[in-house]
Amino acid sequence: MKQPVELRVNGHSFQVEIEAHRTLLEVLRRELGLTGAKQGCDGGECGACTILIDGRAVLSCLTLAIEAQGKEITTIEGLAKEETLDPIQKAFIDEGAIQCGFCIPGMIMSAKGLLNNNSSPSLQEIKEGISGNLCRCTGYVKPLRALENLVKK
Amino acid sequence: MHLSPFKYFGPTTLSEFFEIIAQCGRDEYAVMAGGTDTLVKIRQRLIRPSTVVSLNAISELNSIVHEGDDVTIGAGTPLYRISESPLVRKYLPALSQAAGRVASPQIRQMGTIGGNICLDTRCLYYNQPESSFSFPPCFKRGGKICHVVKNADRCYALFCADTPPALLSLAARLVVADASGRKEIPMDEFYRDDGLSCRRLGNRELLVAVKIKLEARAAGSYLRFSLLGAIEFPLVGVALCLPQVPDGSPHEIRMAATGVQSRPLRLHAAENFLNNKNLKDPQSLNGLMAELRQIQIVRHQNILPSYKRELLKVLIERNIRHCTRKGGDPDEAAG
Repeated sequence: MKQPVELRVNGHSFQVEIEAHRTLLEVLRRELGLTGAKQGCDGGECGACTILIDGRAVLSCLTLAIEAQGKEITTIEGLAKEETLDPIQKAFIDEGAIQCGFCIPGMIMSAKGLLNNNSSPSLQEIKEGISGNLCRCTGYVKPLRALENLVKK
Repeated sequence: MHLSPFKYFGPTTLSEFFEIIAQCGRDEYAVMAGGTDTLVKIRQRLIRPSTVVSLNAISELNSIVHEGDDVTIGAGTPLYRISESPLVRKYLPALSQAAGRVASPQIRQMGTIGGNICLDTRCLYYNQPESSFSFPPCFKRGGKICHVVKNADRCYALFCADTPPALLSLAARLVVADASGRKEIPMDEFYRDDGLSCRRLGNRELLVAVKIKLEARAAGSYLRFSLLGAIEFPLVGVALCLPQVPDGSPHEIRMAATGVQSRPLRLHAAENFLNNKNLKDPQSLNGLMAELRQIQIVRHQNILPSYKRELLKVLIERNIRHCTRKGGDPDEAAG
């Protein structure tokens, strides 16, 4: 049975009619057209669907949309302020830390969650911060370098 | 694959929770906290609950309270809060380290201590999408065979959660509630060596809190070995706790392991062997392996029991070095 749910995503409120078993990832991608968060393993193992809820990095594939009501949801689409990229996005581009691009939104959101709680993480803390994000291109060096450069600034 | 449809309830109090489950049939509902395990099992069609009751809105379950000698941690407290809590870091380092090693940062944001304590046992022949099963049902799927141990009379799925060995080493007590009241169960009595149902938790009962006494047990640590550095269950994890005695010969070591049997395992024989020994003397650990040979381990995923015993020994030795080193950095050895 569908029910009305109000979600606050990237500073805007959205009304959707969904069933209780819909995940936040499904609603973001299919109902709201926000396809930045990727559907990877759908089982909590790859981190491609990482978003922020109340500033903390979580997996949207294992979050029921109904439970995200009343919370502040941030997706990769909400990071840039109009034409100005988020410093993390800029650091990734400057370092060419893109690979095929599938895992990068999740990795950037994990990094955002890390930096929200720790503005000057060590390299080890950065590694742990994005350890929940798998890159099948095995391109971890450039994202790490991008984040190190960003933190040094 | 979508989650299979279910009715959803999000009670805000425990009494509301018990009212809801009283109206559900015995196996019709699933209790969900962080969702990192329950939702995966629903998606894989390993369970098909018609109702999901979420604990996330019950605020009394999310707390870390220090009262008198006890620290009480609500079962719905996320793992990241436990690993980052200054109180837990200072007085219960083994628990802080174990909570900080679970899966990935995202899963630690979502997953709770109660969920980790009640984590189901795992097996290569069970934890995969139901549609991919090409072999007859094992005990976990309602059959009468085990694909891991031939002619077995029970399920040999492995217990792999990180925090229970730490809680065993800290002599934690679990607070279990039902509609009529609460009771405390020592952690040592909560589990049994049966992969099908390793927890002694009734169908209408709910784990609501963990209580730990703050004794002079500040020295403790948890170390694990896994094939991958992240998002991986441990092959073996060992937690150790010892009272701080200045001369270095503690009399009451407590140790427990995960990844070894269908329950988190207290290492009684190894504890007795190490008690009253000077742990700062590496020679005192000679003979430890003989004690570990008594532990029954079955072969899972081609990991030989002898390899797991060796891991147990190495992790115990590293834990001891870690706990007896003066001013040791607890995070250094947590690899």
